[in-house]
Parts: sequence; C-alpha cells; structure tokens
Amino acid sequence: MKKKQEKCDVAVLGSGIGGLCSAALLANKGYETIVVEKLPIVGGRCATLKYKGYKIPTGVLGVPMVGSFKSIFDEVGAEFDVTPMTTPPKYLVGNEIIDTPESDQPDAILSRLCSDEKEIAILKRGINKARTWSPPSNEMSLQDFIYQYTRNENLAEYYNNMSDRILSTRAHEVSAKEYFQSFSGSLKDFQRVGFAPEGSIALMKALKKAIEAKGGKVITQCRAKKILVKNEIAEGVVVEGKKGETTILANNIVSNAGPKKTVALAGKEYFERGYLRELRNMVPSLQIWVTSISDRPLFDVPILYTYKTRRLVSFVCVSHVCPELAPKGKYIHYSISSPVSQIAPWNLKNEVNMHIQDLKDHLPGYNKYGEVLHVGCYWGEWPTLANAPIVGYNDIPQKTPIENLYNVGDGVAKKGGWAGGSPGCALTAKIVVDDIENRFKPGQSL
Amino acid sequence: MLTVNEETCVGCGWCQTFCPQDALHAWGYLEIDYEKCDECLVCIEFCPTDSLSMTNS
Repeated sequence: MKKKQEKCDVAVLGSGIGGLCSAALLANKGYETIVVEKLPIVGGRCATLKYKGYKIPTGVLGVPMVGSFKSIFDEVGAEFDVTPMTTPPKYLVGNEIIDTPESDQPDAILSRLCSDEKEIAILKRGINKARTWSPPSNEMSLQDFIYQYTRNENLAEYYNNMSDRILSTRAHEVSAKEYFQSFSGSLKDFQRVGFAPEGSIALMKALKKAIEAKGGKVITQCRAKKILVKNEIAEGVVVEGKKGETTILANNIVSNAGPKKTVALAGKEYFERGYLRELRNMVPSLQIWVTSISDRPLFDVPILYTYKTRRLVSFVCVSHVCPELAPKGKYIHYSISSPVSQIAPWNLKNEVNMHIQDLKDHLPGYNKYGEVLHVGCYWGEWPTLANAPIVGYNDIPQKTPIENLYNVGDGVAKKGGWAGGSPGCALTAKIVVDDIENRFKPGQSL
Repeated sequence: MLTVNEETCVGCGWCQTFCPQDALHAWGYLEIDYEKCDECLVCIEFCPTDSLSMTNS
C-alpha cells in the first residue's frame, strides 16, 4: 500500500498556545500550515473541561487583555471573547481580610505582616533598586535577595506568595533576576486581565477558526510519530490519525510538544550533548487547581490572594466576572497551590489535602457552603511550567540544533521576564514566526 | 479492564470530566470505579499523558 503524503510550508505539532499562535500568524502571512493535535480537543493546557454543567480551566485562568497574546488575535482577526475584571483583588492574611484601595495594597499588606516600618523601608529600597536600576544575578534566589535586607519571616512570606503566583515557584527556589524582570515582561500584559465566559478554550477555537479561514488545517486526534531529518535538516513529520499514517513534508517544523518530546520524535542522535544536558536540567513545576462550587459566592470580589496558609496562594470567585461558567444560580471558584519545593520530592495526595484543608480553614463559609467539584494536578509530562525559573535555570532557545526545527511554548519561554503563561508562550510563537519569515517565503521549495 | 499507569499519570483529572459513567475520580491520584466503568474508551482518547489503557487481566 502506498503511504499517504502531504506537503505544506510549516507543520505544527501540538495545539497549545504556542502552536496555535504560531500557526495562526503563519497562515495569516500566507504560509500553508498544518497543525496536528493528538487529543480530540485543541488548546493544550489552555483548554476548558465541561463537567456537570460547569466549566473548569486547565492552566489558563486570567487572560491578559494587552500585550503579546492579545496582539496575535488582533493581527490574525480572531475573536477575543474575554470579559474584563474591573474589581481589584483583596488579600487574606491568615484569617484576616485586608480591604484597602488597590494602590495602597502592597504597602498595607507589608505593614500588616511586619510592624517595623523601618525594616520595610530598607527592604523596599533594595527591591526598588533591583527593579529600576540593576536586577540581581540569576544565581541568586529571591529569598536570599530578600534576606540581604530583612530576616523577617512574615515579609519573606509576602514574596513567597508573589513568586508562587507569578512563577509557580517559591522564593527560596525562584531566580531573583527572573522574578524582578517579570514585572517589565509578562506581568505588564496582566495589567488588564479578564476571563473568557465560554472558558479559555474558546480563544483557542477562535485561533483554529482563523487558521482555517486562511486555508490552514488543524487536525485533532492526529499524533506525531516521527520528525524526519535528513542531513541534519528537518524535512517533515510522520503522523498517525484516524485514517492511518501520513507523511507531511514541510519546510519548517514547529513543535509545541515540549523540548524533550521534540528530541524523542526526531531521535536523540541528532542533538548535541550540551543541548541534551540543558534539557535534562529543566525542572517542570507542579500546580494544583481545585474547582469548588456553591449556591452562593464564597467571597465578594473575584480574586483573593492568601498569605500564611499551608499551600493556598489564590482563590478566584470567577462567577463575579463570568456567571456563564456555572449553571444558573450556581457559583464556581478556582483555587491554586504549589508545593513548598519544586525540586524536593512531594506527596501529591498530601499536597491536594493541604490545599483543601486551607480552603476549609481560611475561607469564611467554605465549610458550610463550598464543595470540591474537581482536582487537577499539573506536573511532570503535563506540567504547569515546563522549565520553571529556578535559580541558575537554562534558557532553552526556540531553535533546536536541527535546522528548520523549532520549539514553541513555555519550555522555551524567553528568559528575562517571560518565563511562561499565555504571554510567554505567545512570545515564543512570535519569535519563531519572525525567524521563519526571514528565512522562507510562502511556497518556497527546499 | 481499564488500567492507569501510575508512573506517568499526573492526576490532571481530565478523564474524570469526559467519563460518561462517572467512573473516574482524581484526587492527586486516579481512582477507577470498576462497577461503573463500561470500557467505552473515551478516557483513553482524552488522556494528555497516555496513562490509560485497556488490559486483558
């Protein structure tokens, strides 16, 4: 039997944010683009699970309404169905709620955590210098940075929560440099944030539609089996779908499967030892996402940041912004936690139990009205961040050692403030598409 | 019989939401209710880490 064959300019493996953003940009520029996705749905960790009438997020909750991610929707003409969040967050320190004007909040929390104003002032001076003058070295943890100015454990707790929320890594492990640079990187995009009323998957479906409108293809339940390499140049991919095996010949391959999977698909023999060592040093991070439901909102604002808990760092009463995510008259809440260490071993069952115990102990009314609907853990081969910004971590480039083979997504997110999340993944797509555009014209033969 | 590979399952709980029989429960680890599971294979299709399979034993 003759094997089926197709040709295109670019084959994209995986339909996460990195993959679909790349494909949408490429298709819009006239490149013949084929996306293959092994699962029956698109989106990767930017999907939405429908369960008992509720919509559960799988990794993207707050959607940045400005910056790299949003600009791709504008460029390709994809619908961006996001409801902005207009109410500022509140803070829970232990069991005490801090309710002050948004502009005063960091100061208000720091003063609540430490009574010595002089100590706070010294710390703030150090931090200001790191943000506006010169960031600390990538070899220094945020905790070591903070300990230069204060030994106050409560003040350290503030930065634990911040780095956990931003980078899913606590202060004693996170690179201080990456932490401070994220304020001028991905966090800028979150200055305006919203939620997708149909779930984040709607955004991924909108990108799929934009790709198809430009003649591109997005094929689900189609698994990449082998990246074809000849003379150290990628020249195609063998995929297996519902109709059997097909060889897709392409000028460029963009993999959103994660750098390690990309190596496995092409064959280790094509990659230099130094590159493989850098991949081995990657630490994927764990986050636990618990979805809780109730007949009444468990809190009066959409976002609550929680300090001095066992594990819990944030609690999102998303129904305040998007009632569409729950059946009529019901409320849906998401809460997020990470382990104390992303490097040391943890017991996942214990981590889940501590998260839920935090909900019961710290959230007023949870015991009476709240109920766990779903527990989702993201780590290992299906991680929160594929390359957590842990002290001394490596920046994996989007270009692989194989010519015409790129990676996109958070495993290759750009160091210097873009460690992951939707802005970081979208940025990798932009970088890769710019490079392809500089090297190839649509329809150009090899 | 539906089997979970505990080495690769991360406990994302995707399978739980797609199971038409409500036979799966994720709590950091996956519990399979064999009384309810009718081996429809939907969970296998949706498992992001390829951790579910059918075995004969």
